[in-house]
Amino acid sequence: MSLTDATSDVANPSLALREAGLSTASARDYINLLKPRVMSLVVFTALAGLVAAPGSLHPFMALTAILCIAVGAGASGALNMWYDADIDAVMGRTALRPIPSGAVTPREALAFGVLLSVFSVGVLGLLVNWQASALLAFTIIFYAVIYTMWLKRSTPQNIVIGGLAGAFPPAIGWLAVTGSLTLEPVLMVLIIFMWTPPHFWALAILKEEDYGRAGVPMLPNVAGDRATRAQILLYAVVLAPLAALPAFFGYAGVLYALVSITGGIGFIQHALRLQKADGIADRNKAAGKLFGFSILYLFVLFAVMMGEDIVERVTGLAVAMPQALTFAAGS
Amino acid sequence: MARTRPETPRPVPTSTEDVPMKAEDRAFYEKQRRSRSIALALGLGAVVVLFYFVSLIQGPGILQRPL
Repeated sequence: MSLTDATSDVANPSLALREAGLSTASARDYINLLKPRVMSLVVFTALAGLVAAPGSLHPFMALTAILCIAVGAGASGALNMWYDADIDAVMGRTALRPIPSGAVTPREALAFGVLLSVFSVGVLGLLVNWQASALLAFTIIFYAVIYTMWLKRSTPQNIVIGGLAGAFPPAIGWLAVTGSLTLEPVLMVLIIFMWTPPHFWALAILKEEDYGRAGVPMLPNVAGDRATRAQILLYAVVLAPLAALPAFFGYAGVLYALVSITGGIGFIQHALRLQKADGIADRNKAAGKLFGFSILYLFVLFAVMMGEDIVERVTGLAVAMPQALTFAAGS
Repeated sequence: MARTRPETPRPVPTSTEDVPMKAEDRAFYEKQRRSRSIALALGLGAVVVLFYFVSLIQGPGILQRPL
């Protein structure tokens, strides 16, 4: 069948072109494969780790490190979309992604993801350091293989363990500068790790039907709505003091302490409102607010942490907590 | 029994110019291809610039450092 025949009864030209084996993907489709919104959060937290790290890195080398981390995050997003194309196609939230919409073929997405993974890990290792590169490689493999291929379809704790992949970027940023890890980047990783489950479970409550249709065992679908809300509250209660720890270990300043404490209280309040919400409409409203707040919370925490580090470096003013208020006071 | 001539295999198009398609399909296809080509060129150019500047910053020992 010639292409002319194929197009005669097809309104969408890309369908006929694809049938003829021609790629109809635009550059934008490939950019969308990289999950730009997730990538922006990864870049932001990696930058926070990079700025917080002691020592100095040439600004261009820092830019190179951030670029590699961003490309690596995008590559794991492309690999995730390649593997999850069947799930994405039946979920309203993801049905218009490049593979289910037909703009990019699964093979193209796989090749793109693998190529960018190798490129980002290789360039970070060659130009910056191999420690950061190794953690980036581990992160990509953890996200694409451990989370996407294994955990996501097999356990309601998928996002808890899988969330570790999204938590590593500050440590990669830190490693790019120092080549070794200390307690400070580990705390940053733990904050994102504890933040991820309540953030995603709030979304999972809102998209319960979607996940059910796709057969993804998210906590609300498996353990039920009540248990999920209780888990969200539990994680919020652990996250709030954990997020304040950098200030009390002397890694962040007074402003960070205030923001993390008030933000933590706000997070718990949102989780409590969700816990007490009555009826589907109320519950969805509370879940939506918690989801939105969680994004703002993480963004502000890392922005303040980074802002304090920049102020301290530029002005030389010590913004750290008074020593009497830190855990170092007694030592 | 009349012998039928074996069907001549359809020539494999060596370029998309050889693929018959409607004018609007060709315009759409070429627009998409152009956007991919430009993005690829920009990406490759960025890599060249990246390595160039890093080599200026790091000097000749760019790849010589302990693991």
